[in-house]
Amino acid sequence: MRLPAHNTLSVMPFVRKSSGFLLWKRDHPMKTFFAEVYCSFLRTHGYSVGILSFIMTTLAFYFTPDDTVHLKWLVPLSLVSLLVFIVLVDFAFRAYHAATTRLPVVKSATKPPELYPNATALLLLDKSELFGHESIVSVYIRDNDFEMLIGVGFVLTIQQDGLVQILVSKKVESGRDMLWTEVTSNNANTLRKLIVKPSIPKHINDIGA
Amino acid sequence: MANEQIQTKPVEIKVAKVVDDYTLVINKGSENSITIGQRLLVYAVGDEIIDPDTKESLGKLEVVKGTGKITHLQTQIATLSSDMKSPPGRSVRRVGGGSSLAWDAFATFGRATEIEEQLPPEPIPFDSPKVGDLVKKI
Repeated sequence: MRLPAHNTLSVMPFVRKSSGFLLWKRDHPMKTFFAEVYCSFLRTHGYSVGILSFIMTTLAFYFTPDDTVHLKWLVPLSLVSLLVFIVLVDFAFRAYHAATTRLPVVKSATKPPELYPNATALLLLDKSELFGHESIVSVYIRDNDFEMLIGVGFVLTIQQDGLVQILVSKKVESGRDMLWTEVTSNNANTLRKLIVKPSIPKHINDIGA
Repeated sequence: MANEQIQTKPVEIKVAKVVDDYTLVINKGSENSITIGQRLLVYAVGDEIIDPDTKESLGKLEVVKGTGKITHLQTQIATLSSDMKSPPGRSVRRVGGGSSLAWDAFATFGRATEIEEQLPPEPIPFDSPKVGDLVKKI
């Protein structure tokens, strides 16, 4: 059974809200920092403001007022503006990274430890604050635009170096017999498609631990 | 200053003695903030893991040997007992007759009563614990 992915490609990436702002849909796959900057550009009517600025600059070029700004004011004002700009860009960048809780990638996989003979696989995940010791997880495989549930398990341990060990304690029928063999043989292409989430679907009432 | 550094440094707990596969003694006790009932995880440092993409080392895998609870506490040592349990099993018992062939034949007609009982979970031992295995709080 194929389950629809949460981040499917949207035909209409923009939606118009009643406020008149064009908003970037949250589930659009393009979620990079610069996509968010572009989204902010749209929210603040960037095109309209840009055209208006261009017109005013052109007019100012032809109709230069006689008044002049002394350099002793222009230089500090420019520097302060530059400082504010740099600080705001840095703040936005850090805020973006703090706000986007990305799921950790599966770095490696192996057979389960002897302590758990009935388990399916042991996955080693990148550092993540989303997972706690013995918390339950579900494992999906990304297949084009779909995510297919292939197993459930729990966090076996969080290593001293921060990597997260996931014990897949129960397979979910996926119709791909060789899948877990590929995973435990550390197949890079298969590992790249795996997604581990810190939750399980409600129809799973036994994680086989 | 030196005391502050000592306090912030994580305490390295190790297995000091293997009593049996279910019971271990660790080299830390009440002086090291170990408490009765505290859960600990026993592990050993295993093989180096290589990234299948970049072929670079990802560090060494911690091989989990089990979890346990502190059941006895002394100032400098503590006893750790395995708290892992197998999933509860099930057994089916026939009530009201013997086990003869005649009874079996009688039972096949559906007159026997079968009672399904849930077996209590059985404790699971630590996996090959050794002196020097590492222990951490969970």
